[in-house]
Amino acid sequence: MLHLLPPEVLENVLGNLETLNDLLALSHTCHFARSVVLHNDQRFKPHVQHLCQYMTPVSSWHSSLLRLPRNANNLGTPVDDTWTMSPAVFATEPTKDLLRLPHERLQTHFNRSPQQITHLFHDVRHRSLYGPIPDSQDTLFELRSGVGPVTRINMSTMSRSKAPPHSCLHHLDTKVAIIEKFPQLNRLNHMNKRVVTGSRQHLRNVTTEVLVIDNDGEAVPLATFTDTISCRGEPHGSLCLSVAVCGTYVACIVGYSLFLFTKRDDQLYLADSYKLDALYSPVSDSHNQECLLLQRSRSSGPGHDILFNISSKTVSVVEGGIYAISIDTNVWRFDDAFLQQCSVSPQEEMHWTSAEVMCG
Amino acid sequence: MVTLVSSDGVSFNVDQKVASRSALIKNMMEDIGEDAGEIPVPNVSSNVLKKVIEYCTYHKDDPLPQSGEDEGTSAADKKKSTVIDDWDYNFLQVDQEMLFEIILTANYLDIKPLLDVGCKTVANMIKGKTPEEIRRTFNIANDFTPEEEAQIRRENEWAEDR
Repeated sequence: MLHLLPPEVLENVLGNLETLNDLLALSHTCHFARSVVLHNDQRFKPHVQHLCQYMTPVSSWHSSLLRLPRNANNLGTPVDDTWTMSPAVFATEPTKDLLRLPHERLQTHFNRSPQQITHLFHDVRHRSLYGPIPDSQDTLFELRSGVGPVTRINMSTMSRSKAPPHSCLHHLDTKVAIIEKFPQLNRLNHMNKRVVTGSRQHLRNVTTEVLVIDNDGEAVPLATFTDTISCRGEPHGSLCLSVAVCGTYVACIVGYSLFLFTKRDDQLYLADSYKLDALYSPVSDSHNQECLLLQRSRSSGPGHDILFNISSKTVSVVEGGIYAISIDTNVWRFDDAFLQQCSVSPQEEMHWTSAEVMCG
Repeated sequence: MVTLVSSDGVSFNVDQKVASRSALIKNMMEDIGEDAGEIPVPNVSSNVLKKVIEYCTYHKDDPLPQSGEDEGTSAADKKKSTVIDDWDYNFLQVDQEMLFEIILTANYLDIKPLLDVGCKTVANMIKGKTPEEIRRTFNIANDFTPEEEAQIRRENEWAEDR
């Protein structure tokens, strides 16, 4: 029966489910319900992100990517044919304090007393970044920014994972302009987030034009989104577009191209453009005005997602794992194997398996 | 008065105030003017249309929801409004096929309060149930392979380990 309901109605139903258990139960009934839950509910995003790793991208208009008919003649620069879909592009908000283990479990999991550990957090299998920890009073680690901890904590394991600046980005000659026909910036932000989530509901009465300006300076319409847009279609022969808002920037990825726009006088202007080394999806971070997380499509492990500092134009690879911060200013980072061990044998006493490092 | 004609050809004479509960019909009446005459409601059978008219008649004096009212509604606000009042609850005590037909009609005719209360009713049918119970409730075929079910079990372990 649920199959009869159109997606916007199912969204309404999901909005009335208040617990993760209800969402999980529904998502475990069949593929259809699973795809709907995974793609539509934002409130349980951190948990959904975890589930996402098990998910096969669906080729329906629950998809979080907009796929547009591709016309090679209208593109200013050749784009690769290997379009793929990312199951994780709906992650547009910073994750906050996600999956913090209850204090009573700390002893079991980490063989440390709860009093020794002030913060514990991890990033759900490398799918997201840390958000600020609400009750944090320890400013030493600058855990105020959604993307801060990864770059600010001085650990040998972290520095090893960093990539040289610009290794992943290359400037493009072709320019792109997006003209948003919205009266207000917040509406624009809202719309863009909804585009990323693939919700059709909020695309009503909205027209978005994407123009490619080729090397001769001639503007060529690439696509026009209206309320009649359909996300149906096969990945091949279509153009993938994903959009996210990052501070004052609007990041738009078309295929392997990243375009950054800024807003002035209710218009978007191209700030910069880059060629990416792989297919990514942009993820906004409203708490950080400068950094843009690019999630690699079908990322399979740590080191695939990259963090792009828009101001400094530097790139670093985002590491994953589980972290704990103790009152004596030590920081521990645990590898994935340890995390797996915790989930498999929660009752057994765990011991430190990763290097204990000092925060400098 | 305005006449609504169901997909099976049954006519219903309805007060304009009642018909205006539907944003779709309200817009049509405004476009066509006083001589609205008969308004066909394709895809809605007479038994469903009769129920929807019953709802609209009961709620004809309620304030109309404003356009875009739902946008930006916080989760907390939504949570507050999950209660279904007694009349609506009893009104939706129908078989599941009728319930879904009412929801689809409310969506088609753009009767937001009816759509919302219908969705709440469906959500209430899901709450607290196991996947198997939800399948039975909605007659959902389990199309997961054994391997996928094993994955789901692992997911459950993770959820319990939060």
